[in-house]
Amino acid sequence: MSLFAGIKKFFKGLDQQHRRKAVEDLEWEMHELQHIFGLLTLGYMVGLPSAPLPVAWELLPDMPQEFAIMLARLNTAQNPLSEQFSRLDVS
Amino acid sequence: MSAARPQVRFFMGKGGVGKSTLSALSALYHADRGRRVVLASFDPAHNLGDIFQRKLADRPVSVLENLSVAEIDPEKWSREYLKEAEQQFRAAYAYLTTFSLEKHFKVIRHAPGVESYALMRAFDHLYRDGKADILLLDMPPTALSLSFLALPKLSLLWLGQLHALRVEIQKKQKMINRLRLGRREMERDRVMENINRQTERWRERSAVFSNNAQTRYLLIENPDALSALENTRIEERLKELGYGKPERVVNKAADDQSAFPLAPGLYGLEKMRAYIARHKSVFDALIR
Repeated sequence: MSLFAGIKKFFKGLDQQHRRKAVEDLEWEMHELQHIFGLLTLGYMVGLPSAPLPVAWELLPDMPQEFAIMLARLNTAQNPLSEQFSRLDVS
Repeated sequence: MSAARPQVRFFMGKGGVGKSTLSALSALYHADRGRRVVLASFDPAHNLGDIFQRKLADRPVSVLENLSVAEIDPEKWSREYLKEAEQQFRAAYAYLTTFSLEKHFKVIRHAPGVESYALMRAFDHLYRDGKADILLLDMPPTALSLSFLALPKLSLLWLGQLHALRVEIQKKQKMINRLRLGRREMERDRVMENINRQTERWRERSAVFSNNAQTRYLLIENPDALSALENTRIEERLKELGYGKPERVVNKAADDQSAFPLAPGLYGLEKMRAYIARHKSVFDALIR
């Protein structure tokens, strides 16, 4: 492998690494927004002010992803710090 | 909801002021002038059946050739709505076998908003079925009436917020697609489609409620301070909601020139027609 090819490979790897990290961060942000969306529509289940019931109920069949995030949150709700640490790769 | 849709009249006011009697008299007044009239009671404590001396039902029953009357059962409309919602939920989330649906829906039945939305569905049905030139609604007690009338504005407010949040989610999704796959196009967003669909429907309802040329709010009161005070509060709330200028109508009055005088035992078509004939000028002025 030539020096040029090696440098190219190095920067390509670096680019991929940054893209992967950026996507992970964006995905986390998107999940948080979806979580807020879920809370705004399904919050009445846990006593939070939320959209009028007819609006929320009509949305529900089209939001399986948000609903799944809400259910998954039940598992992490008791330990939010561990989720933050795992996202930041702190072990 | 097109221009061919019916004129709408809401009869509101404190309990016992004579909303049902005046709405029944108005229905007969319009029907005898050749208009196709549907009169519906949204009040769970119905008495239109007593006034027309007919057994009525949840769907319009023909009293005259061009006059139909219904006593809407909010419980029945709530049950139908929840059954439909439950079926949609089951179809979409069939995999959630451990989720206790029955228990959940039992709680939902008593959640705030269900009763007023059930009435909204009944209103949609009567409004859209094309059987009336004029639709008269004998409204329930003030709290439920106002919650029913506020529902379009409130729903639009929430849908606007949810739409804005969804736009943010879409932006993030677009960036992820571009970084990961080099693609710019977005997959179909069913939630956004649902929000847009609902927004369109609530806008139509809101347009009917706020169209002064089509919809009138008749606030019935007696010559006493309490019923007048309640109507002042209704007037303020309707103004906040942007529903034009409600008109106050005095019933059971001593004056028979600008108000409806008290007439005990006013029921049955014959007595009602005689009353309308006696006070024709008041009907012509107030009941358009």
